[in-house]
Amino acid sequence: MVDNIIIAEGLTKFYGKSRGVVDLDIEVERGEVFGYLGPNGAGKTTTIRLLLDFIRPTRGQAKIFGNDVNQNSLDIRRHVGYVPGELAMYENMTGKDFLTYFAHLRNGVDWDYVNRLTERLDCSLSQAIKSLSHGNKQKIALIQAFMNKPDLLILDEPTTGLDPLMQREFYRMIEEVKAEGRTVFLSSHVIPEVERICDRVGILREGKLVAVEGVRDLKSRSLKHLEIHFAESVPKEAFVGVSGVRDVMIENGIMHCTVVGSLDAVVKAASAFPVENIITHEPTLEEIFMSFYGQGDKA
Amino acid sequence: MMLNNIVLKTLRDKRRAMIGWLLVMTGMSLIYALYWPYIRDNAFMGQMMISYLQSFPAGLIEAFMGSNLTQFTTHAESFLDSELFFIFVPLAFILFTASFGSDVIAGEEDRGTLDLLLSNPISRSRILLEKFAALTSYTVLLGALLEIELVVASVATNTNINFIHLTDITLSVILLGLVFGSMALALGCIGLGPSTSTGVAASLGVASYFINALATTFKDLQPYRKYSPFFYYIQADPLINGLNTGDATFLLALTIVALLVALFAFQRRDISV
Repeated sequence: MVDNIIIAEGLTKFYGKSRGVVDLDIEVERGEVFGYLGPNGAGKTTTIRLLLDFIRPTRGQAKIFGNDVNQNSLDIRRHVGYVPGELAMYENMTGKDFLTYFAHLRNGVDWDYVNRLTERLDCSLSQAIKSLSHGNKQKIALIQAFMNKPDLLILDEPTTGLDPLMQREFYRMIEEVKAEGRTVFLSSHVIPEVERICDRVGILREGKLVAVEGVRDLKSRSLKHLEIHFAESVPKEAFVGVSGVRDVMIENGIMHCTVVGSLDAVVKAASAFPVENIITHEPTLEEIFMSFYGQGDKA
Repeated sequence: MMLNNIVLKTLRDKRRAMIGWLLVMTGMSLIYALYWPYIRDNAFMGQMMISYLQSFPAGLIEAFMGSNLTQFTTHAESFLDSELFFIFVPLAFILFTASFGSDVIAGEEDRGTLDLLLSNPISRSRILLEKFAALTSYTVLLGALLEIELVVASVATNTNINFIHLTDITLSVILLGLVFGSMALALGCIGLGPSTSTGVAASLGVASYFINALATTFKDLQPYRKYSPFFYYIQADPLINGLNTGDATFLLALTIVALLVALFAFQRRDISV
């Protein structure tokens, strides 16, 4: 039994002179939920399309279940469920027809399980796909990826268009997959999502894998923008030098700052004053990269 | 049932296009099939038609109606040959198969659904061959229904047609259609978009028609005639003389070559997003 479900070695793709991804080395272990984090255009979809053999590498290689993704693509795809980032479906079909067609192409599925997934995601399968919202199309795409209980799920921005309730249901489905010892490779540009469901995170930037972090490490190093509303004016000095706090600015009793890692120290410092409200803003990916690699180091 | 495999799904997707082309082809053919008895039974009318056609330059008539005008008013096969099988039916088949052939891979890629389809445990070559099987099925069905219609019309109007030769010309036009259908399929597999693939294959079909048709008038074109698939479709006059096995085999070989090119190209290239 292979322990590394996905292995990429020096995986590189150029489209003519345009960069796709460069020298990727990735290892995803069995039973792991691996987040693939990066801004749009970083190369997340290119990586996934290389893994599924939709496109061929310029150099390097990748293996899934120990098999070369190009030479043994058919064997690999028997055990993989996939949701594309750019979702395109057969618009004139109903959801039911779409799933029926794909179930036949996979030599049958357990329809009881499909029905359970449909209920969990509160999905209508009787309407033509063209009449559905993006979120409802995404649910059907998720069902087709999960429906034959694949050993590996490759999901490209899977929660796009899902409302918060359905996102939570999706997270539960991922937890169940993990509990069954199956593996998930999931791309996202939403940090809280990755923090919530992934074990490890690969951070991709401009086609290069700049870090692979455990989620706990990512959390400890990630930054947040904090806004604290006080009932009275507070001195800036009370927060300058507090652990993890930087860029402190106070105006009309409202303090703005950036916090790296835990909020514990800054909340304790604020508790010396009458607090009316605390608001946190998630940083952009660009800011995360800056916090990881500094202003001058983009690679 | 229609979703059991790629062949049936493709047939399902293309059923409207199929019905549309069927109505166009059978409608037009029925008009000529029913018109023929009036010409046969009315010598004056037949003579008038011949005189009218002879008022045009002979080369022009040969380019658009072939060279069977001498028996035009006396033999149904000559009439149908000139009016239907020389230009209308083959070009209609080419347009049908070219748009079908370009859509099944290039169209699906253009609409973005090819990624999801390829994520299933089915090889690229099987996808291509199943889609080609669907193209062949509808092309054969179109030819068969056209022939059945002409047989029924000829029986109903007491027209004497050699049904075996009718099958021969039908087979020949099916093979011609498949040449350009598989060519469009191959162009799509090489990476051209669906519109470009259709346009290039259909244009080559029309060019092929003109090279063959004009070669009888413009002698400079004669050496190029053998490069025209139309030449192998019609040169032996299958409706009058029966199928020329060599010509039919050549058309079949062209289709197989185009299919092999499609398989080779599709197997090796990147699928666009």
